[in-house]
Amino acid sequence: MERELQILKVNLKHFILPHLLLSIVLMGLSPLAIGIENLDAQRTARVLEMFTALSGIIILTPVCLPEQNSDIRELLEVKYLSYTRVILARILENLFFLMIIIGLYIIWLKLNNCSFPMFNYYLGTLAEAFFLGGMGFCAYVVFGQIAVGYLLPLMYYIMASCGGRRLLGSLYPFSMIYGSYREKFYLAVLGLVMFVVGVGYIHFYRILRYRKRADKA
Amino acid sequence: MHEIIREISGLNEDELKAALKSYSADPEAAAKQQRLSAAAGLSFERFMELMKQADKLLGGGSMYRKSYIKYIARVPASFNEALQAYNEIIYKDRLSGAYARLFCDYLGIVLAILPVFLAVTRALRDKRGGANQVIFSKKAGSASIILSRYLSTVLMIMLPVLAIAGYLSVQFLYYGANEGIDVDVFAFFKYSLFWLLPAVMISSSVGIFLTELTQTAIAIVAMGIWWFVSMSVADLGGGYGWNLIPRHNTIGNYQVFIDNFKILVLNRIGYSLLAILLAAAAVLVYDLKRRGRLAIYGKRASNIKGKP
Repeated sequence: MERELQILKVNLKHFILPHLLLSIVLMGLSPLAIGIENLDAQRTARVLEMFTALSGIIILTPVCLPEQNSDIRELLEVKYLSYTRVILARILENLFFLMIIIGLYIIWLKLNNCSFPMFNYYLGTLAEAFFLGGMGFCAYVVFGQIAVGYLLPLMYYIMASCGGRRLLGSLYPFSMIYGSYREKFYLAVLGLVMFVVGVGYIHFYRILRYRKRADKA
Repeated sequence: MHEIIREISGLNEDELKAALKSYSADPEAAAKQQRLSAAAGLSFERFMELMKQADKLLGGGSMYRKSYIKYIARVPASFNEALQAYNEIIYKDRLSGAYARLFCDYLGIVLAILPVFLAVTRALRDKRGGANQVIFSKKAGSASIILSRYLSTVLMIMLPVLAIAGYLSVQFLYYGANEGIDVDVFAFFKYSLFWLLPAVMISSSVGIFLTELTQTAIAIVAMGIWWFVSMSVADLGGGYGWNLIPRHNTIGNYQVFIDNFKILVLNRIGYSLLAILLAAAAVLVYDLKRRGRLAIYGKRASNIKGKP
């Protein structure tokens, strides 16, 4: 447990901090681009789904960013503590901060006299952010390129915002605008699946690589 | 907000509540049913003032802002106006021009952000593959390395755009030949090169410059923020201004296009020049790194230079 805590501390200090600060700055500057005062439920949903949920991409996609450098990746893989556990600890920590940031933003909206079901909208926004972040994480792990990790969820977002409701169906990310939470459930489940796929890929790909090396030796 | 609506509609609180209750999926029918119309004696200036107040109440940037308000009002066109719009599409835009603007409107959204991914991926590959030092030591000049990458990125993005433009041109040519309309065969190509190419250039150059400078994917975030703000403040109907993504989300509207043509030309030329400047800056940064004057992974490149 002590080791995991150390991982969380290092992750916060060296890797996730810039992404957290970026998210906080973007949220803080949001009134410059979108109105966030005295909104009704529909307008609040628009702000949360089309803006706030993007923080999922910023915070959850770069979980494996330190390993972009192959030297660090190889060093981590030979450590006694499983690399998969390191990744899991980082995901949970990033998710924890994502929950806090979205929660704080929702409280800010409430203080700005916006009227909306707070708890439902919190979970709905979190589900979308989790899905977008999961897609980014999974894409990054599988393709090994951080740019691809950002590309896929952003393309999904653009597709949805350019009238993709019919095309995306049950996976439409802006459903709260239309008063529906059903899609959020699917997004949360799919987000979880993508995280499992990403972590599984890391775990099994590493084992396969070692077996190949052992066979060669 | 209640006071604002009351002054605009001239209805009291009970009447407004009844109107809100009967508001259906068809707002026009509901408005007719409830006889919702502007209050007698309400001037346009006062209406705009009230809308400004409403926008302020919502924290700004709402649908009641001055640049957006025209989209939540509808005025039925008279026969003469409709005929004029038709004639403009057929004779001035030669059909394909009107659709080419809509084509650029939608494609412009994607092309303002997509190239940055390609540029960042390309630039980060050297770092990931540990190839920086090998390439640094090659004979090729910094300008030829960076500009060849930059131009290939722009070209590879524009090729499919031009291919789609070609496909659409053939479709319009065929349709025009059948209907007896003199179609502008090159409209899609002209609009693509004039409207979309600057967006591709700027997105690619931001990607290549920031990635060479920082060796991180920060360009995606920078371009993402720029893209989001541009989309948020865009005027959908031809008020192009200096927006990175000039929108023209309608078929036709020729007169608005002509009225704003000058600013659109300045906009596109301005972004093209900025893109060229950023590409040149990327060459400079790359050259400085090769000479060991900029840090790489926290070390000065001169450290690497000293190694055998």
